[in-house]
Amino acid sequence: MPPMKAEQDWIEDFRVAYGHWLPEALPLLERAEYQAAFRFYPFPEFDTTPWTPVTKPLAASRLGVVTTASVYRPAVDPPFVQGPEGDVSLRRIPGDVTLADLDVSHSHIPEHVARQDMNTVLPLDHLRALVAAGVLGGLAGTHFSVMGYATRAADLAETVAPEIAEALVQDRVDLALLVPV
Amino acid sequence: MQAVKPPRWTFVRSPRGSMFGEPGNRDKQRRVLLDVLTAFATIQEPGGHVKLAYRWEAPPVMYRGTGLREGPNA
Repeated sequence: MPPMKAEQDWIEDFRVAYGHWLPEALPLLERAEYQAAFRFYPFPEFDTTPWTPVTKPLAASRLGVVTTASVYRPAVDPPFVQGPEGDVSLRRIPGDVTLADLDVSHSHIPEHVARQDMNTVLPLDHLRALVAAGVLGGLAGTHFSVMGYATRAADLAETVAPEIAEALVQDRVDLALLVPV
Repeated sequence: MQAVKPPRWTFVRSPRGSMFGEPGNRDKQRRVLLDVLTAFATIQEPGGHVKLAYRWEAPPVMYRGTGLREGPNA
């Protein structure tokens, strides 16, 4: 299969639909009635699947992680905003970070699990061990974290996603592992 | 996942927020991760996926007073 990029033509329609959705949904979101609110959310629909062939063996590949667990460095960066629309901002996680220096700020998941063991959402201990064992070629200089609850999907697609993709390319990453929570 | 259309994906039946397995279960976390990394090469077509057989091996994860259990075998 030849490479295929993600579709962009849904974004304009989504922004219009989102503008209609939000005023009706906001009271429901503020009462944490998510099922009712998302019953009429304008979920994007796609016709095609983006695709880039894997051309290198794992042992020669450099991997970057993108987690949606709202991982951040409390000593360096602010936590993610816990509002009704979530947060579409981005946190960069240095490749040599110590997991004990990380926290999560994601009110839509059981945060205590990640605090107990960050490898449940960002398995850097295991990835580093696989690199040391020669199973995996290497790790990105920077990994990325977003908040999995973010209703402004068009903003994610137009700003955060391209920023992550560009940074991974600049970092000569071969494989991007997205960890949704 | 049919709506999202990721390029390639791996499914595991963990409760929300615990994708690689139970906290502290390092052996299982490593095995899940290895299976996921292996899938990068074995999945050969857009939208291809692998469903992993791992089951949640701990009590439900408490969240806002409710116990989160493993997901259905999608």
